[in-house]
Amino acid sequence: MKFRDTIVSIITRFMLPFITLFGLYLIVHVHLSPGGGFSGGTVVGAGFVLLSLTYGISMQERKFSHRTSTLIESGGALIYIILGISAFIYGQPFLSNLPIFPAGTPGRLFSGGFIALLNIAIGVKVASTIVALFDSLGGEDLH
Amino acid sequence: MLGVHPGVLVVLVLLISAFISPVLDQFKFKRFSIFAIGVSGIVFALSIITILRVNSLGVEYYHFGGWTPDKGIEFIFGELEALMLLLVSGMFFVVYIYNQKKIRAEISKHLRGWYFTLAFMLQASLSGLILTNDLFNMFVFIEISALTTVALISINENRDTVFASIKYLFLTAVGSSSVLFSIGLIYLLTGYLNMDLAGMELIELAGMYPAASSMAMLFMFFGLAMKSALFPLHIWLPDAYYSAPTISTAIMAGIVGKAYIVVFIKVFYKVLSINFFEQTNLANITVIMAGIAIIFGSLFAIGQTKIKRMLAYSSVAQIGYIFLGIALATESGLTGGILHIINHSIIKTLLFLTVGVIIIYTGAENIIDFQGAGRKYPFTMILFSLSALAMVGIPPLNGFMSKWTIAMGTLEAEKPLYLVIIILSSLLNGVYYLPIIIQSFFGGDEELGYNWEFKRLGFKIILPLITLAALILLIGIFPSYPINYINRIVFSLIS
Amino acid sequence: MIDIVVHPNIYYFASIVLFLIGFYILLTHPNLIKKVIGLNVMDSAIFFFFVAVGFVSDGGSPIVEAGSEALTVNPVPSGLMLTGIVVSVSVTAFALAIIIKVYQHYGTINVEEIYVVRSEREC
Repeated sequence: MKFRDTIVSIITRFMLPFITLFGLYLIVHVHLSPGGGFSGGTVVGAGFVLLSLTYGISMQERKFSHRTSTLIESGGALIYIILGISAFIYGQPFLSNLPIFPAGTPGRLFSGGFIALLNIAIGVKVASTIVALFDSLGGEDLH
Repeated sequence: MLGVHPGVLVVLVLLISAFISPVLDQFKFKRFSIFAIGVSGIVFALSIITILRVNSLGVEYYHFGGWTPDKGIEFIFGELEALMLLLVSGMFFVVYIYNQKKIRAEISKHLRGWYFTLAFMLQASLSGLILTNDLFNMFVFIEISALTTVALISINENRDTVFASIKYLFLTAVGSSSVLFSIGLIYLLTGYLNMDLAGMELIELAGMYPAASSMAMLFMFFGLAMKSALFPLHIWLPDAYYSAPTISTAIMAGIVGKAYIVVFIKVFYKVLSINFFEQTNLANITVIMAGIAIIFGSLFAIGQTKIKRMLAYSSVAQIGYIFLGIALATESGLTGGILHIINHSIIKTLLFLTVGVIIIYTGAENIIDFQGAGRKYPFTMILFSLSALAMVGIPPLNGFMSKWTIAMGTLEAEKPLYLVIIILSSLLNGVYYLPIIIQSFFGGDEELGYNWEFKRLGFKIILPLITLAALILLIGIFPSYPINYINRIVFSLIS
Repeated sequence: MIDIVVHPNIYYFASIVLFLIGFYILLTHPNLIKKVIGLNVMDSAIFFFFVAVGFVSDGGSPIVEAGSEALTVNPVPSGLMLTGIVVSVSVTAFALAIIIKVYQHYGTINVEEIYVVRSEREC
């Protein structure tokens, strides 16, 4: 997959910021419209996979190396658990939302407690998982 | 810190360790074995605190996020859950201590960090599976445990593991999809995902919508029976147990199968009890399937040449005993079934651990190679003989107590044919276990003396074996403590 | 315009038929990748079933404006199925990874040929 097709590389360079922005929009607006961490994370991950498909695996290694993706995967899950454990300090059960995090007014972006934060952690984890899956299943041999 | 319950901490500690392990692996951490012993020791201590707390305070509920049960997920800390949590945590702790030196070397060095990630995820999902009171949460934990079990089988890549793991993956995915379909039907009928609330609704609704609730029960039965390896859905079991590394087999045989049977008990006694026992004939059909499993499992085991396959088929037969006890739904039957879950877990784990020592240290894979093994490794083979006799059902050992109680259950339910089946299969069990014991001590070369292996194996491998053997003897000689506790469980389930 | 009246439970029937089709594919085709496709069809049938469970006729989309009490479709089953889709994707990815390994070890991904290879090895 080393050859560079002109049309594909130009369009990838043009589309990639929009894809990533759309994915981040899906992740953050989880409490306002359909979407959430899983679908948004998949879109962001697909953007990175597109980068790898167009420019070869070495470009993607530069942007998002194997070590980084392992750390981000674990980090996303640990942030989720830490956010849930933070409810223990207030004497509430695990993953309590409304008594602790500010609720805000429904319909605005900063509302709904920590749902957006949880989904950001999930989205980051899913994106790095999609990249790691593509690496191990279809990418060239790195080891 | 009022929101903390030791049972919830079990799942959280395991999840945190599971996610820290890849990070540690990236930073070239070497001492995963000690890390695993430490984490599982903490979890074991927490589960002891849980069972003491349930003993004194009674049944407790833990609502995640503070939501009420009709909207949110809750964990239930009852007697059955605390007992099974103790069993799972204890077995994992014992297996991790056993995981030393040559036994650990069965898994290649660069995969060891990932092995423990998978094992921690497996233990977290099994603990959550036992504790949860919400149907969809149960499904999520079932899926996590299925995927991590397949990964534990295929951690070493060779022809056998690859074939066994793809077979297991397909069959278990079919089972999970079936369970999910059934959960959808239960949600459609009752509008609740909580087990207690859905059960109460189904008591009235089963009469009004017999077809839909029977279909829900049938799909749930098919899915859970596929995962618990009830005959004839046990196809994946022999290949999976045979090709996996020793620790994975011990974990699968002793723990994973039992967790799914506990889920079966919880769902079919709390949620679908009317359909299973009164409305349809499925309880009787389960009894028949269990009877066939008992006979045919032992028959298949007799003809095997490789020792791990023989133990796998023996597991199929013992799972038949457990389902016989559960489906009879009498007091003694259910008591015997739950007691046999505990007993079989301990006995099978000890069997696989001792066989693992001999396989790894002498390379013997076939039953014929066990000739004379009793003289090279006498202590290990003594423990093998002890657990084999417990499996057959010789009186002062724990296997006898559970089989006796199940037999009492068959008489209470007025099905004396199954008493004959139990006695017949105990004889069949003796047919394939006793020759190994006799050949190992008295077969092979005559001149070798007895070469005690304490120095060769080391303290850390001997200690778990002694602990499990001591449990076999203790539960056999003093059965009243566990049976009294289990009677409380049965009373709350049947009434 | 001809008004076609369909049975109100048509979605449940369709999802059960799709489930059985997927199960049939999984059972009968000897090619491992087609079995994975069958598994995916089965899972898609279950997602369809759950989403149909949540459907309320004459209900609007479940985006709530502040203070309005309109009848909305039940969003809980769709939310549950997000998790279900992730699980299905994970199982598919894992199955495909193992199938690659099966091909490397056995040289074929046809189940019947794999059994022939295994039985030859035993003799």
